[in-house]
Amino acid sequence: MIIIVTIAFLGIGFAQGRSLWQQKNYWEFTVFLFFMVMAYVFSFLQMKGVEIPSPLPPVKDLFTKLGIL
Amino acid sequence: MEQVKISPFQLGLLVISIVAGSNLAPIEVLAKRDTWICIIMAMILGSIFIWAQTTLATKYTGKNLVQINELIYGKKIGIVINLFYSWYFMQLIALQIFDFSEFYKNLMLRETPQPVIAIVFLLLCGWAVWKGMEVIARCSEIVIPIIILAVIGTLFLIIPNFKFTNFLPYLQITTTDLIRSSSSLTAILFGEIICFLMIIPMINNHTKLRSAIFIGMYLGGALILLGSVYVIAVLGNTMEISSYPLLQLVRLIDLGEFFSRMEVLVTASFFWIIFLKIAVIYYAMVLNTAEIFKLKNMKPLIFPLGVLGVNLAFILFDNSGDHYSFIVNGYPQMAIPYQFVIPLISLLVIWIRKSLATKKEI
Repeated sequence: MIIIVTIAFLGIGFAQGRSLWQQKNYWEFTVFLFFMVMAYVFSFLQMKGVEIPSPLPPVKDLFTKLGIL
Repeated sequence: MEQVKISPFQLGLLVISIVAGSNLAPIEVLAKRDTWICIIMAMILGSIFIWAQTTLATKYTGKNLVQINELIYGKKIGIVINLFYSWYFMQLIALQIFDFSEFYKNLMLRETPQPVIAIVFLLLCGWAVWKGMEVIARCSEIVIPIIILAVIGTLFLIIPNFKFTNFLPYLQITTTDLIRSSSSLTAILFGEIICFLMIIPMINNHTKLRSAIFIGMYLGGALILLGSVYVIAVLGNTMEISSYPLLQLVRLIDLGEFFSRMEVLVTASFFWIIFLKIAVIYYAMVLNTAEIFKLKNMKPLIFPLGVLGVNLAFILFDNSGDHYSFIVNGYPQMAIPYQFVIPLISLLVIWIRKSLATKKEI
């Protein structure tokens, strides 16, 4: 699975990245590369089964917590 | 960025898809047999939300959310707020994707891993986003009327199973629960219309902007209300034990041994309406991020941001219970600042600036 995903990322990344580089859109290329790397790292960690902590704040019920209701 | 134009009619249809696309959320759980009252209350509250959002849009005609925030708060604070919006849109996609993939996994594709369903569906939405907003809008012109007819037609067949006593005793809900449920429903059903602030500059007739959004919102709300009334009238208290009461309801249709297994029609409707909803939010998220980074073309970001959205869906929630608890308890508090508080603060800033400017002139 990891190999298939890596190949997919490399393929799409190469095709899109090369097109941006050839058009001399270097800023676009940099932003694209940044998000591609981020997306790949997260996908890789997920596939490896690494526990990533949820970024959501532990909001249970703010109304009750604040004593509004 | 691409130069696209959509009509107010198409915008209205897309608003219907955003509102009615929330039908997989656990709506009936919040207020049980008084859900219909809460939906009506939510429509009133939602009108205030939409008023704030559309007022902001009409004050800066031709500008999208990113540009409006930068104009109001300045470049630095504007970028921070826009990054938060980008994060919010991504969370919305993650929520919708999890909802959708869970629905299909539980009901149809039991052997398929949930991430596979999510990835395949997001690829489809990504393709629609790649083709552009005009394509998504044209798609809504075909899909939404068919869905409305299919759902109303299907629900018409269940009328023989109606038990009006299921509504009794009505108004048993306490004021506290009424306010809590209504605000939750407002955030779940109507607040997400905020993503249209990214799309509004694409409309070819700005004079009809507000009416298009309001009509779309009320029609979408009416569809949700209709579904909820039917669920209460037919299923009664048993709706609480079903994860998808609307589907449970349609399963009961059996007219003359001919009209049966109608859930296929409703499931197909769910598929299309959620496809449109995710495509619109996905488009708004990609455009928002591309505008923040001042990209000439948003297309390079479609794939990586979509992959991040799918990843986020499975990072946020371990299981359906987790997801369900978040929707009921945490989502409104997380979403209302983006949907209502920030637009309202923006309007206040505009108003203060205007009054200060007139004072100086005097």
